[in-house]
Amino acid sequence: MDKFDCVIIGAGHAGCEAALACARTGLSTLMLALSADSIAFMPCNPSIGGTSKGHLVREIDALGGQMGITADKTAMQLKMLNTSKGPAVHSLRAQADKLEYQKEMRRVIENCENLSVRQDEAVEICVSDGAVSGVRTALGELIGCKAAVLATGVYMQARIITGEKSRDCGPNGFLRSEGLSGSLSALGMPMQRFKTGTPARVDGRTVDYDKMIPQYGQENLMFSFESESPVVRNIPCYLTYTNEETHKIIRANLHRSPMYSGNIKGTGARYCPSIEDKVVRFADKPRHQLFLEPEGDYTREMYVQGLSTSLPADVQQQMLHTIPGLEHASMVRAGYAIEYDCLDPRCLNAALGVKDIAGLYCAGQINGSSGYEEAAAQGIIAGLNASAFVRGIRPLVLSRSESYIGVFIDYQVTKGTREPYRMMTSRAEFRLSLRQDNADLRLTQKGYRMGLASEERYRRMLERRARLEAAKTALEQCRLTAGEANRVLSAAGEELCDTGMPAAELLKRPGVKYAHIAALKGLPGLNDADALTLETDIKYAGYLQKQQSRINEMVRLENKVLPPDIDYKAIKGLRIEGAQKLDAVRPLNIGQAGRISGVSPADIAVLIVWLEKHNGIQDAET
Amino acid sequence: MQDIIAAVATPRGKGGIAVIRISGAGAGKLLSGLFRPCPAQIRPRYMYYGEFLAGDTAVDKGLAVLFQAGHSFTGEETLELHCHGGERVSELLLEAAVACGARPALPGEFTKRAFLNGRMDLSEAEAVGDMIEADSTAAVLLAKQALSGGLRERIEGFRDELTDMLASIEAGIDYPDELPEEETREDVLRRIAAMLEQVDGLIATYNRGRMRKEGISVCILGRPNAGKSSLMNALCGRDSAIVTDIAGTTRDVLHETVEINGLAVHLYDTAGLRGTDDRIERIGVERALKQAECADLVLYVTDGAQGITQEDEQTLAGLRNKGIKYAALMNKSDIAGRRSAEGISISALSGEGIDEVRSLIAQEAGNTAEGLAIASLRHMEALSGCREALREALEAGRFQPLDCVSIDLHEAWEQLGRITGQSVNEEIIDRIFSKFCLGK
Repeated sequence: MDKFDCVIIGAGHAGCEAALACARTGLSTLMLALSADSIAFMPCNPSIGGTSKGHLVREIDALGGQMGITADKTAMQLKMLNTSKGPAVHSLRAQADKLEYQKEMRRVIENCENLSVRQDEAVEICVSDGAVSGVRTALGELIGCKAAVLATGVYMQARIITGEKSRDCGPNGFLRSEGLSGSLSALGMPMQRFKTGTPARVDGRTVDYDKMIPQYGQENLMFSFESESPVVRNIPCYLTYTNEETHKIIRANLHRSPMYSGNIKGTGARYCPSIEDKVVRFADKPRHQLFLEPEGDYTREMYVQGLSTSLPADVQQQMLHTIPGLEHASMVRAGYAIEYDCLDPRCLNAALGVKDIAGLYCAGQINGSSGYEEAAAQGIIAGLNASAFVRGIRPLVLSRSESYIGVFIDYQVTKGTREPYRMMTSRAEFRLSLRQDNADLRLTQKGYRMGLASEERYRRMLERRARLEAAKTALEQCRLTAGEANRVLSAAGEELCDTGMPAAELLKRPGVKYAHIAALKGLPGLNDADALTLETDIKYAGYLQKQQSRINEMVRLENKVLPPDIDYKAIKGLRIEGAQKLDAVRPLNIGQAGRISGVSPADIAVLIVWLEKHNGIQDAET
Repeated sequence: MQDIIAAVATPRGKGGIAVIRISGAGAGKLLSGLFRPCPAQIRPRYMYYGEFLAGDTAVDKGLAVLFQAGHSFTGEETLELHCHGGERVSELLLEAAVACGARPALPGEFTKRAFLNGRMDLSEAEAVGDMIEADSTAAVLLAKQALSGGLRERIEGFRDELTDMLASIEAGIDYPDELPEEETREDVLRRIAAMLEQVDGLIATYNRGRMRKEGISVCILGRPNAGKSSLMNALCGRDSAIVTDIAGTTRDVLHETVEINGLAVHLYDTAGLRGTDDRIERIGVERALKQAECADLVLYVTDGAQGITQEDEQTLAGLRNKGIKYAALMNKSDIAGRRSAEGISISALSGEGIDEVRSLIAQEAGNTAEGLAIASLRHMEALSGCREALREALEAGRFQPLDCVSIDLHEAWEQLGRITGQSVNEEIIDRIFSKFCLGK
């Protein structure tokens, strides 16, 4: 029998990060792939990052993950989104060359020390004495392991549906996973059935680009704090819109949509609705925006972002032909909906471990999430924690106050989800502090302590922090005369002033850049990325401070740790519903307990009273 | 384990009936040791008639009723014994309940259990405490209003509005391409300004609310023999203060509480103001002035026959300088026989003008019977915090990204949650601990 420290089940974006995190921290690791050709396959949109998702990529990178580096290497363009809005929503997005991304990730995986890839299907998780002991495969092997990460994506009992036609298979017609979900059920894990979908792809040679608005990327950008040089390719996407004619066709054919005819039972995502959902739910909107995105440099296929649908293929073709620029488009692949088995993530703890089975971790769409970036973010955490489990060290649990990843996982395991769940900026209450530009300052040290972020990466972060602090100190000690200030202000195109002022005060004026002041007053020079971080910290100092006091409050509640073995049903005063919800989630601390749906503030008060008494008794005994 | 607590729920002293309340899981089981005939199966919310036992002796006859968990004040299983109102009888029954396994309740413990069991929010819990202490109709009304959730509804209304604004800001944050920030900004700033006005309005009721809860304090001030004590007696409707024609009869501050228009009015009769060598009288004068300084209203009594003298004018100027509200009363209209333009003409002896004084006092506390008013300092603090956050949100809205506005709106939302107990934070928790003795 083969034996590994850890087996990763799945080779998608969660599986890749999990496998690399395990192998790079020294575990002998096996990646089980349904097909070795589909490692890091992107079955849906050809992009990585975007609003709030770009933050996740940056954080994965800061921890020592791979997604950002691979995206930088293979991007067709990179763009900073929402720069006209507040700094919290600035987000990076890469147009990814799908095939190159896959090739590059596969190269990294296959060259990673301690990591083996095997094409086989996991059909059973073997558990003995409450801990994972092995994985049984479709080819009849039993692979021994100390830990396992389930990263099955949308493949368990998958079915794809286009109109009246459906097939039992995974995305793109790939093999699906049979039996594994039954094994998980038998282990007592709560299962759900979700639905997601993807739009049609059209032949780029049949598209009239003149009728659309090209969307280029920007220069000098990169995801990874590690990447040496910015992305240079700048291949455009194209913007166009649906219209009344498109909507008329959709409405006339709604009865043929499996979502409406009842042929799909799974719950779809409100956040990534199909075009038929959008037309029904926002009936008064005359048009919806669509982006044509290149699938890669190797192909003429274009992805029609915003037109996700499970209507029959003939209806899809008709719809496409109503859209400016797509009047003569020929459809290469029809859009489809996909139904699959996943878990209720409340069976997981904040380390993404299954509560009742030691050594078993879950990441990605199996946890009810949606999106490559969300999957990868969970992958790196599940991988690191599987590794921590095998190595006998403390797991990595990121707080809501330090990362988007923490926000995302906290929501999943605390509130659970009844539909595919994606990251949203608004879910991060401390978003002004958790910016994409300071992910390394927030997380690299944690990645380094876990043994994943390299010495080199850690050193770079410390150097950057020192540069920022030196510049900040210099800025705070610097004062400008009215004349100097006005030179800066006129360079920035701002209103002039009458008196001199401290440099930090001047920098708070909207258009003023650090470079303006630094050049005039001989302050330390900073690169663009460093200057952005410093400028944001100074310009929003007041609000960052307000946020910090809220963070401190939350941290205090999170420091009130709840013992894992509490019998909630025996705590007098908890409402029955509150006790049941607490018992189901088993929160780590009072802070998390307060975020559980169905737990009231009065329940929290009872818990705090109980905890004080309990700790009082413990203190008295020790 | 939370144990069974018991207390006499009705006031001490002789009354028609007294109620002994016993609360906690299994409270019903105590009935067999306290009551006969005890039914084998007690029907909840059904009055049983029988004899109360202390040990084996029947001590009284009365009614017993059981409330199931979830259907009682505390949210726990609760037994109530309604006996005759003799102090000793209720005492005996309480002792008997304790002998059967209950424990005497700590002050506020029933309310604490009600709060912890989710039967009421924090503002309602406070209202129960106020209800017990209420010593006038207005205070009872005020307490009732908070208890019925009047304040909570208002605060929840604000919080809903804030949630709505936050949702529209955050929609723009999640879908920056699709929702233009400027439209949202205009709408949100308009709504913040409107809410700020309403919060201001509620804050402005604080003084009124406090007066309604605690009563209004009215100090009667004036030169010797102006008729202050006569006015005191006229307002009380009885001879409370000694009245003579000897100047300097009243030396200390006399205190009486009367109810006017349902409002508790704390009247303070004081020594007449004059320079004197009498040490005792001098202390009396000092006390009179001190009392005037902490009054909500000063009734300044002058002898109508003499009009307002220079000394009166000096004292009144002093009150004005200190920002103390006062009304000048021209007493002895029965002898002086003329209406003065300088104040209200009254006759403490004949009763002329006294009703006018009463309504003057009532007016000072606002319209006592209607309108929501906040009366607790804690509510006042939270509302002030909310107002501060809203002001900052308006300021930020002028030039900062909407995201900054949302930080202030969140703060306003949190502050309001402190009133209803929806925001769980350290401060609320400390309050819970200090308010209710935990007996750790």
